[in-house]
Amino acid sequence: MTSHVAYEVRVLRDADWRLEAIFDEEILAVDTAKRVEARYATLPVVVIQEIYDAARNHMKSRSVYRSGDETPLHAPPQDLGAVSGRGHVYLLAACGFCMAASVYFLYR
Amino acid sequence: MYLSEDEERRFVLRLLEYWQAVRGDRALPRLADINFNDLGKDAASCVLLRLVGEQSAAAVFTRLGIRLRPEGWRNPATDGDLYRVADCPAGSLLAELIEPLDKMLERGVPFSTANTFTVWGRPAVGRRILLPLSDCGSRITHVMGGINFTFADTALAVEPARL
Repeated sequence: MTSHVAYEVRVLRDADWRLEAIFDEEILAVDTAKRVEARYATLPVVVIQEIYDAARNHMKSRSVYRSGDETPLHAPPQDLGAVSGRGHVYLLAACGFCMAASVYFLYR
Repeated sequence: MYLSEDEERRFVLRLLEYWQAVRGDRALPRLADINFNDLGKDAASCVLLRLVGEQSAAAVFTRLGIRLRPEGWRNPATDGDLYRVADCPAGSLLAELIEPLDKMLERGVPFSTANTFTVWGRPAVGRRILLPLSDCGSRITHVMGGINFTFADTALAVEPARL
């Protein structure tokens, strides 16, 4: 089985997620996204991971990085439910709350 | 304008940052925006290509960094020799740099990939970047590229993060 992974840096300009650069390594793409973000402070930036499975002729995409805290006006291209940095915090807080509630009901 | 190694240790990101800085708000920078003297010692590992017609194989090198010059090739910038992509010797460092040229031209944006190859008979791991330029503002007319590598058979040399 052959699969190819690419990381696309995209910038939201004029209501269009424009391709900015392509890498085969996530850290380079994310660092580039951060530099683009610093250069154009008002433009949302995303990094999309694309995995192409040549044997199945199937493409899978997900966002691995999103700039800033604001939700973009338009959904990132082919975003298949990546969790943002803030999303992870909410998820951890929810897990912590559930565990605390379980302990309370078990030992009360 | 060009980042130092202290500011950005990765060669391909230094080149990309330069490309973005000279581009400004345009989709692509022009050839005239690129000054090899800005690149310092990184210029030795960079090339400039002028596209000719529809086939990438017909493109010619107008600048060739000294580290990338195949044996017997002279400096196109000073000697006036124009070498085509099709003339590039297989297995040379230059061939490794331009290998993804068609993919980059197809997508029309900076394109960077890692690769493993042999340099002077020794295994090496490298990273290259190809950056599109446009003199007309719409289609790609030139390409800037650079490749950096380290020998894979010496433990001290292997630090892919610097590529």
